[in-house]
Amino acid sequence: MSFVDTFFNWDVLVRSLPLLMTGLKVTAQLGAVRIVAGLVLGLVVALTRIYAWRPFRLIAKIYIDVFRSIPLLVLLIVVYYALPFVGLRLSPFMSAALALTVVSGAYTAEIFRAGIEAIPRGQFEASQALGLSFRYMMRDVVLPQAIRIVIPPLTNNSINVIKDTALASVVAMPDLLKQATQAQALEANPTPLIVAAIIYISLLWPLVLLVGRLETKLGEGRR
Amino acid sequence: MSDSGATIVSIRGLNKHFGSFAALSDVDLDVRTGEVVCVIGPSGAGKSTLIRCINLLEDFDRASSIRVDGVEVRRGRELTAIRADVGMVFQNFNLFPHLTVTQNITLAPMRVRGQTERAAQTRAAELLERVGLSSQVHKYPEQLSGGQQQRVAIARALAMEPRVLLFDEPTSALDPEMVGEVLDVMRSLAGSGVTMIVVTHEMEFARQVADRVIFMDEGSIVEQAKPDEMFGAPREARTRTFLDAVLKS
Repeated sequence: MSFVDTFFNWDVLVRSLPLLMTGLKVTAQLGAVRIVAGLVLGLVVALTRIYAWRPFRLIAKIYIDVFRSIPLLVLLIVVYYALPFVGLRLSPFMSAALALTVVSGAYTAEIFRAGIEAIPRGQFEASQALGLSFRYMMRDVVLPQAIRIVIPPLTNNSINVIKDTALASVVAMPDLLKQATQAQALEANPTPLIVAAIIYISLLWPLVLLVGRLETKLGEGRR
Repeated sequence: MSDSGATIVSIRGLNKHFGSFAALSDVDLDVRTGEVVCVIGPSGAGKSTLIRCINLLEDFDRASSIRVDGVEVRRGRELTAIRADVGMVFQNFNLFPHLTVTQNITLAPMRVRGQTERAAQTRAAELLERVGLSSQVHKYPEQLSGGQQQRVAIARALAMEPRVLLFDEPTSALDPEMVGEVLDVMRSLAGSGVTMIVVTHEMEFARQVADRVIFMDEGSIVEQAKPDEMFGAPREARTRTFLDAVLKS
């Protein structure tokens, strides 16, 4: 068998493509859920960590530290294989989404915190002196500026998020990687794996380029 | 410049500590509506700290009392309402860099006073005319000079119709050629009856505009007098030393 027939087998590619596409859809869904849920969770945790009543601040800090310490793969397996023993049986999608979101939330929270803490004290004082409530100060003054600062690291984080969804294949999640290995077993040919790798790259390369551009642009642009 | 107005700010026994260092000790001060009070003194005298206590940007010792229009200044539900009535102009302007000049001015009136966007914009346009910046409405702060930014900051504070306006060394961060334009705006405000407490190093401004000048040193009010008396015949030795030093340079 030639190199091309082994790694870039056209017939295998055509036969396995539908399966890969359903896998891509699951990967995209999982990535999207995790990014959105992670952002919301991260923002809430960051605000709690900085501004809440002291015990809540401590809880937020512990949450952040714990979920930044635990390997994602370990958490995935715990959620999927261990929680059923206490009667909590989640679907592969739910398990993966849950594990990925809580970890993503912890990282996102730290990114938001850095962004908020980078806003000069004078912005807070000017808001307070004008009589703005905490809510409006955050919504209209602090967060719009903080978000501008954290867009590059958040985009970077999103790239990792999409990459990490591949780990979900270990909990029988029919994502892109899982479908590719499935197809590879079915065809006894590695072409689907190669194609999956190419799909991952073509999905994420533009994002990687975007981060580079954002960093340059926001670096020179106004603050 | 009425000097018979009702007391709007009343400070009694104000103490403030940074650790064991007494930043303010036993400061008493009353400011009447329409009055222009200039606070002078060496750096580190507690001038800025004093006015930052009035809207509680600095906490102060519990036994002290500050009242604005009869309402006790303290943490709690009423604080944002008190702050809305006390305008402040900062040394470093502190404009919101992501908002246009107009948005900087309309934000608080809309959020705090519940004004409609249209009403707030109309008012912003009037105020910008008053500070001589009508042509800059759609610019962002970074596109303006320091003097222009500070005038926008004054318009932003005025938009809340404050009962009293605090100035924390408003010209200290400006290039020398821009000091005059800001002082001119402040002079016209003083002339129109706005109650002002101004921490400043501009002795000429204090002499011309103030109804009363307060000299502070080491966290206390050393002397207060009408500008003629303060600059012409200061009673305290510390005041004389300070004035000799700054007026000579």
